[in-house]
Amino acid sequence: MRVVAVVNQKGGVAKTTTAANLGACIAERGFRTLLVDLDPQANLTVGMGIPWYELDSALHTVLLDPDETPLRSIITQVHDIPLYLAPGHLDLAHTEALMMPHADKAYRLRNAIEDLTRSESFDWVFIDCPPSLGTLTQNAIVAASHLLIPTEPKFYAFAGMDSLNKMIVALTKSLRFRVELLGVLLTMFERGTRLHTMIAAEIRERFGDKVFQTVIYKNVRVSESEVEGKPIALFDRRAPGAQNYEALAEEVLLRAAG
Amino acid sequence: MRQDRAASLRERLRKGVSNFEFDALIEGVSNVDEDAAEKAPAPPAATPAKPDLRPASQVRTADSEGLRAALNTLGDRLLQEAGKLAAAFRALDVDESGYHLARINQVLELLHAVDPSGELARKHGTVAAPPTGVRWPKPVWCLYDFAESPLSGLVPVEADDLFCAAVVATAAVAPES
Repeated sequence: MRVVAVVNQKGGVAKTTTAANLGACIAERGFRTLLVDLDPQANLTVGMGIPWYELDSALHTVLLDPDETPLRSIITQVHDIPLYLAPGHLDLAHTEALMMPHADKAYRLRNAIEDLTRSESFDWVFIDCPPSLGTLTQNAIVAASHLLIPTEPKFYAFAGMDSLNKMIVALTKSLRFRVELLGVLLTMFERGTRLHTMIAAEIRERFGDKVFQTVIYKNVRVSESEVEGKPIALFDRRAPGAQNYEALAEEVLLRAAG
Repeated sequence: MRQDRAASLRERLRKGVSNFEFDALIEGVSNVDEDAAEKAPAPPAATPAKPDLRPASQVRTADSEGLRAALNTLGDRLLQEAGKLAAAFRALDVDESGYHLARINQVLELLHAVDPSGELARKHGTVAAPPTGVRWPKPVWCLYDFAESPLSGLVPVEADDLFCAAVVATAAVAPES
């Protein structure tokens, strides 16, 4: 099982869209896939057609009291493919504060996933992280075997990845974990924009083959699919956005096999 | 983009990027004791795929109490952080101001995700709810946003545009805690 944290503290870089669509494309290929919505905005949950505000238990209750609410109890299947969701909730926003006194606060998600795998098997787990480097993101990094970093081709992307790099180095001083980079994914790419091309080239120079060959272009159909509560791959297979994520899924599976 | 301008931009980009470090990301990190991990008892084998996870239609539901509590928590946090931001502004402390502005941005993003008009907050009597007809302020990610935001009203008269720009830039890369 590979546990992939989709992480970048910058908001609006397509973390949620990537987790949802990559997860759906991999599940469509028959791999049992779990999406974990760790972002208090719960957009992944809503994007899968589930209203978080109607849930009385979600990821926040798992993190706060895993004995009372094991991860397995909140997971639901979505969209008639082997795709499952551990829904998020706005209350995750204050879960960070409530977890603060607990010594194991950064290990809660990892423990929950390990407990889950005693009764359920998943091939892939994708964790949608919040746009911050707080306790929730730390939980994702400690639980993950791999990181996937979606990033816009903007100068601030470098500052963001530098901050993430610093945080990971700092975490190694206090926590025990092992994680490697699955890849950096260029998102929100605009065709014909020279600045995007220039920055993408610089990112490739710095990160080498860790940057996915697949690029996710801006595509309005992806936003429309979110309104419909479906990943683009299930909403409009012919849309460029769907084809981008299909290509990414192939590349991710190839990397995992290699 | 003209050729000379493109070259200049590329040069500045490279110079800027050279200040950043990505080694831990590129190489990966591990401080797990490999031997201990190998000696640890293997967890029980996972069972094959089970079809008994709940379909979406059976997910438990609740009333709006959770939403009310969450809005109250966010409203409280917004007020607290605004107070700390004002204090940091008065001290002309860029790092501290940027840190608290980042926290405020995170709260405002959450509020915009669930209640962009402020209507729910007003209905539930949330602390710091915007007045009737007024939306929650937008998060501040650039100097333009800051100029438009009511938060700019907290800036003391002795602070200049450079101070504000530095605070906004610090907020953009500040970790949450």
